[in-house]
Amino acid sequence: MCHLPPFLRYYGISALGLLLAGCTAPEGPQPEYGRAIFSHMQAAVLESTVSTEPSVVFVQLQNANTGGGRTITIGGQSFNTGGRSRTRSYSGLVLDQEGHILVTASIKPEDILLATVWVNDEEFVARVAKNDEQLGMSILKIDGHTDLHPVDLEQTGALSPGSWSVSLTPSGEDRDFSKTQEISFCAGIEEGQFTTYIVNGSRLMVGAPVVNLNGQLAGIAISSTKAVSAIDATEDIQDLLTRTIRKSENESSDNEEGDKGWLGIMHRPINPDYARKHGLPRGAIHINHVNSKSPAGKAGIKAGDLIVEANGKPVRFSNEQAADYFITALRARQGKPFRLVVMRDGQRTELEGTFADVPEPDALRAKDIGIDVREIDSSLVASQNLFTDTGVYINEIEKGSPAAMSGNQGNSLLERGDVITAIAGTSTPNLDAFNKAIEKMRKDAPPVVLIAYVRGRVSGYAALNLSLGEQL
Amino acid sequence: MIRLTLLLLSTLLGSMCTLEAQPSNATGDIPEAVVKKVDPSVVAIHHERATGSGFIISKDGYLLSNGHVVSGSNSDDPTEPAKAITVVLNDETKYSATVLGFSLNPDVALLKIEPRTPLTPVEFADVSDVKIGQPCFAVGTPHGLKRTFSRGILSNVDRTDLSTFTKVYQTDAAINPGNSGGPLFNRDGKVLGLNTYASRGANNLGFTIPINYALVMKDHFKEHGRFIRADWPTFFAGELYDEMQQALGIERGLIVHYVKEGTKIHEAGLRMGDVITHIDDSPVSARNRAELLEIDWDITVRPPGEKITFTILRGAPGKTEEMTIAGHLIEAEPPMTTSRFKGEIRTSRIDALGLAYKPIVTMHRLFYNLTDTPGALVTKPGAASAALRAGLTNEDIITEVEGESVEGIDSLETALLTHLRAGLKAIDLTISRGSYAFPTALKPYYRLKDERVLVVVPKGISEQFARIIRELTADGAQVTIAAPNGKTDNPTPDGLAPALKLDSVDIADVDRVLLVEGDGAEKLYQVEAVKNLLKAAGKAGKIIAAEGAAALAIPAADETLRENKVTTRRDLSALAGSLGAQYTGQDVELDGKILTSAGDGEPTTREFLKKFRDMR
Repeated sequence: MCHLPPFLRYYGISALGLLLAGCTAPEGPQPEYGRAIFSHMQAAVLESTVSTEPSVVFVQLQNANTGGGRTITIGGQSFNTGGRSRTRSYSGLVLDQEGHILVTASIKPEDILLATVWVNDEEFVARVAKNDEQLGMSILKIDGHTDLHPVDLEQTGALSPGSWSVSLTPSGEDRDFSKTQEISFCAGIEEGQFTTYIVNGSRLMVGAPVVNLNGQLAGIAISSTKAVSAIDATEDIQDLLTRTIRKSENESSDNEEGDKGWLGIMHRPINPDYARKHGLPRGAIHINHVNSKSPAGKAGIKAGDLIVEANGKPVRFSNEQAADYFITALRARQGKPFRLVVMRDGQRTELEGTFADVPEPDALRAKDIGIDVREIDSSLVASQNLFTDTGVYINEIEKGSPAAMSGNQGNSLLERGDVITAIAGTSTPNLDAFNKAIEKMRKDAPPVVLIAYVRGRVSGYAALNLSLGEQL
Repeated sequence: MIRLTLLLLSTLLGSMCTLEAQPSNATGDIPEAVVKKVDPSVVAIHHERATGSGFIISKDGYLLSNGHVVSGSNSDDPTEPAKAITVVLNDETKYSATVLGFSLNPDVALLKIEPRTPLTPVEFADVSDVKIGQPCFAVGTPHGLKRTFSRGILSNVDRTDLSTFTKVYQTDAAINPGNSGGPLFNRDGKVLGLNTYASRGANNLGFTIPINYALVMKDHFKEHGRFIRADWPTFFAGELYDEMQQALGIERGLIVHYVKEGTKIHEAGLRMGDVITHIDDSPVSARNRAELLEIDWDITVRPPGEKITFTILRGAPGKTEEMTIAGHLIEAEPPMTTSRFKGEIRTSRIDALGLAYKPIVTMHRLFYNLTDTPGALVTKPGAASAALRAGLTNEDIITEVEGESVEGIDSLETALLTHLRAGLKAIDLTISRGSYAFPTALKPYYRLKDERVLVVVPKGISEQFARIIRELTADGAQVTIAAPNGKTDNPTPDGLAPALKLDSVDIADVDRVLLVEGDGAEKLYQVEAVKNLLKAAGKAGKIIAAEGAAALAIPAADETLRENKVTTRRDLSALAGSLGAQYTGQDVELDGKILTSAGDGEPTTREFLKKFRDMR
């Protein structure tokens, strides 16, 4: 559904002279006065969005309450550390019939509890198929829908300063219409990573398309006042889509070829500008962390190394694309050998080893309290940024259990990600000790139990009332 | 038509009758004498961004309000108050007010006006015996509606679950936006507290800061201009709730949850699991949050430097030992931003790089699980910026620039500017993120590369001057600073002092002229050298920009320049008119090759510099 462009209501006739002066003249007869001009402009605006409008979808993300969003109680005060709200809304653009949807914002899968996409009135659960922080773009994937209208990235156009444009904004279930179009104009052009249009006159929703009056996709909003040039970004968007599809193909082929192997590193692609400056391959992979007990650790790989070659293949591309290429070239299968070339202090070093089984950490469910815990290894310390490896890690808190019912302000005293260091005065440095402490507690059957834990950098105590909640 | 009017009238009468018919409730009405008494003490507060309420606490013009009512529009500096604040008394007399100090948590501000006649101050209630259910009434300016009275009861007197620094009262008296900062009175017309906000989307949930806290803060604001918090870094303690008492076998005290290693209190011997039973020989105990917040407040408002002694119990239940731990209070670090409060830490930025950063306080490290490495904390990089391209994100720590370690924001700025000035194509950074570190490079876009910018300063430079030079440098401009007589009155930091006398400038050596705000900027339009320069620049088709008062020089210089639209400081609009300027009153005005602004505050400077960069 389309509504009248708001400018017609707000600016009325007086704006029309200005409007015509600035706009790209649409084809056809040029009306001369009053109502005719008015109708003509209205038609031009409506016409401009016809081809893009069906590709616009509404995206809503529910943030996971982890990492930056956790609550810490200090003194008497509870602090929520996250500055972000629980839900975020974006406009999305349908890229293909397979359900790939572009959002011009970086969406980290680990931050998202639930992603929802509205295609007109239909609601779909989506997953983050690809996130590229450098590009500041992500691709979401929805399944089971055939009636999608991909945006035509071949039909892009430009905006010039002073030219009029129309932005399209989708909305969620709380509105009685699905899309609004608003007239805006290009107030300037900024050069940067991408050519960016400064768009005034309407507040853009991130991800919303901005079309010119020829009906071509000119830009995609990256903030409330800026839109990245579609001409400039098309290649990167198509490339991102290709990588997304390739990634999912690799994932499915993983299943076919048997068990995945374990290397034991945390890595990130090197910044290409840094690489160029230091004469490094642009696609080098920086090692953030190595699990000393892993095949990588045994092969002698160290944090800070730069991988430039995997199994005889020099790492190609740059940024996320390089990371994808590296994973593909690695072909991690348990029992299979690997050969890596790393740059360390300016020297090339070749390192070899064999992929191991992906380790399954020992885990335990303490049903008396209502928590699932696991052993801590150095990979977990690095990936979860833990400040202790002495204790057991809470994987999950069972709903309705004593642990979940322990708080007095609607929250539980323990949280997922806490490390339990002692139960009722008995320290629990590992799963074994934890198990013994739980058995002792079971024997003593106290009404309350004192649990010492570490949350991030901070320690704390929780006194749980074991008679509350349901013991599962 | 007549029919409709009659219908309306009868509806009105009907509703009035209904009110009349209600049984008269002794606690329901506010006695007329009380209304008369409090009415002159409540004021409306306006500024460029908001409307709120406040109340008079002294005959000579001191007023209390909320911090958020008077806070300014500079999102980078939450400690900056709004600029032009007007206080309107109940008789519609208007005064301009000065903010003597404010805090956002607790949400309290002290203002001062200079009244022509003595004012009527409020009386304060004794809040030590406030009770749930006691009647109260609010007075203020909800939605700009002055002198609005609304009544209710105290619904709760120990609210602690709103992330506020102190406990707050909850009331069902109607509190709406604009009531903020206004008083909540008891039945006798004495102030119980400052109304602060209402729950959005809920009915009759208003919150009030108890007056006893506000009065302590008032003294801080009067004496120091800000709220000075005492602290003993860094440990966290919690209340002994029922289960905790049972688990520890101790009934009274505070449980120590965390003691940061390497701090004074860790050295003094406090450890996690200790139970604090006395502070300075007085017993302390909290069973709930409200009691805990009271103890916290008592420590917070003590003078930093004062001695403090904790008596603790340590050991397994039944086998505890008593110990004492002593030391001195220090001044707390400024509070950080949380989901509800802006905190008091200033963000600095180099917009040309899309880079924003701030100093790291201990709370940042504990909340975001940062390591103890020195550096500067990154906040969200700008869209499509160099900082984003370098892969920076929220809560990264920049620890090194080109191999040199970064101790804090000053050393980060110095290092970056050195390399930007040298035109380095990419600047190496080392980033600490969570448990690991990685190198990256910041590739400036240098959007003003090779542009020769002549910056003209008046006799005194403003606080924003360094920021302007920083932005121009970061964009690769060749900056030359000139003053009419070759120098400024006040001392200028390195690299910011004028290098030239204005009459020695050859316009052929300049691509852009930028006149900045500062002491004496409103006189620049009378200086011949300035007018000659602008005339020549205009003739040569150069870009001319001027901030605030300095913008007057543009229409004053030349007839041709008067054809362009300009803006200037609002208080100079009449003067601008008399100089023949086409004054528009915008914050920032761009017309052809002429750019002007209404002043040098944020966010105007930001917008001004952004437009300046994009001009061609």
